[in-house]
Amino acid sequence: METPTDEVLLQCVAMQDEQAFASLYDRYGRLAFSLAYRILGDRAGAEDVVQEAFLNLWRMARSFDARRGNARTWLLALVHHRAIDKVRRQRGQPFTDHSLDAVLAPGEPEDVWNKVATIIDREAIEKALAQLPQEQRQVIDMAYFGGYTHSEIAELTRVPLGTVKGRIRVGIEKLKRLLEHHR
Amino acid sequence: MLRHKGLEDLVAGYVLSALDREEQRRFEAHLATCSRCGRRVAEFQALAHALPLTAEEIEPPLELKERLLAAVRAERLPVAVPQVVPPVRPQPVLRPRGRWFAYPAVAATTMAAVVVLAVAVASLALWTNRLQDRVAIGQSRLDTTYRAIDIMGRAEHRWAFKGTEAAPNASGALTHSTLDSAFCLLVWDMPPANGQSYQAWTIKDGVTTRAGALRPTVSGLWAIIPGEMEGVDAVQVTRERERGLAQPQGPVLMSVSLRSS
Repeated sequence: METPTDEVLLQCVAMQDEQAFASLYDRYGRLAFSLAYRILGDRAGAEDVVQEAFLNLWRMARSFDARRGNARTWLLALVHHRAIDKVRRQRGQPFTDHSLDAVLAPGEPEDVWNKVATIIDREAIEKALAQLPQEQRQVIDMAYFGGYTHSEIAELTRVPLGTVKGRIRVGIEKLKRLLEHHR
Repeated sequence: MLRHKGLEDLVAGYVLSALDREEQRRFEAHLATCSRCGRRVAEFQALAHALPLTAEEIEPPLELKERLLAAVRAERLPVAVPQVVPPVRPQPVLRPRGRWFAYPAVAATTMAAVVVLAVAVASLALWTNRLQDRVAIGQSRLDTTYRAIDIMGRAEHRWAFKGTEAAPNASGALTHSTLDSAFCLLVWDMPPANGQSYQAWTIKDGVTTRAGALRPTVSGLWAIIPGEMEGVDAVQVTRERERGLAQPQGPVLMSVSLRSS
């Protein structure tokens, strides 16, 4: 029997199909938990975040917009968003209401990079990251997994703010070039 | 409005959620009117979406799926059935009695009130949604607790045991209920975790299988281990530096043999 795609499962979830919901969890629960744990460093907190994200998916499945990415990126964006909020609250950082738009703004429908996101595998992204200079890897890691803003990274690393912004931009642009062969 | 020159460094920070509140507000205002930056954001997002793959893979606890399914079951709503709507007889158009819109001050005040009301309603909806999440999580944890009580109350098999040399002060109790098809493991006075995790394992025919992490109670730790008792030779608890291991690597702190009972 043909395996249903994520999008088909999500349509079933929109109709409150528990089995489809369980299947999506089986596919991405581990990845979601790994991401939340990497950000929070605490199992109980990671469980809460994953649970909140999947509950959101259950409630918001009807409003899923395929133009804003596939089901996996949508779910992981939810996890990232919640985990970053949580880690910032734990650190007593000023709350920044990073809307999901920051990670799910609609791309161009024909934008091949949206498709690239679905076919980049762990090995490819790790290999590409390993080719970045350490200082660029560090700032990307602190921003994405640490939940730090530009100015906080500048303070923590004692590097000028403009240099931090530049390193993140150059690092991401270099990653893009390195992964272009996946297109 | 910001110019592109000042924005180049913000696009990458935006997709990584690294902008502070003011930067983000200004950037989003610009983004709403700039298709060039929109395309750039979409390109960088594709890369940001691949970053979770670099997180070390860690297995979530088995009970998380059960809790989630219990939570969605609890809030499952009946699917709306389309209803036949009887034709409506056209009504005469009512004209406004007063021409309030003819007075700019009144109109502006009214519009401001509408905007404030809309913002308040949106905030309330967000708050309600988050509260629902918390309630659902609390409910599912309560469901797990009830399940543990069921297992302990209906258990046909009980074992009391002490810690190994690595956990000399520890003690524990293990119960199994055939009706619930699960074990409930409770332990107390374990040595300090020191940032590591306590992991339960079942041993069956010489094969060790991970049975989930122990969670804190008020005075100890506990875990529900789904499965039949038949064939299980022993249950062990170890302390592990790494999460999600397929096989134990840390010291055995507790070991209860099911065969000797």
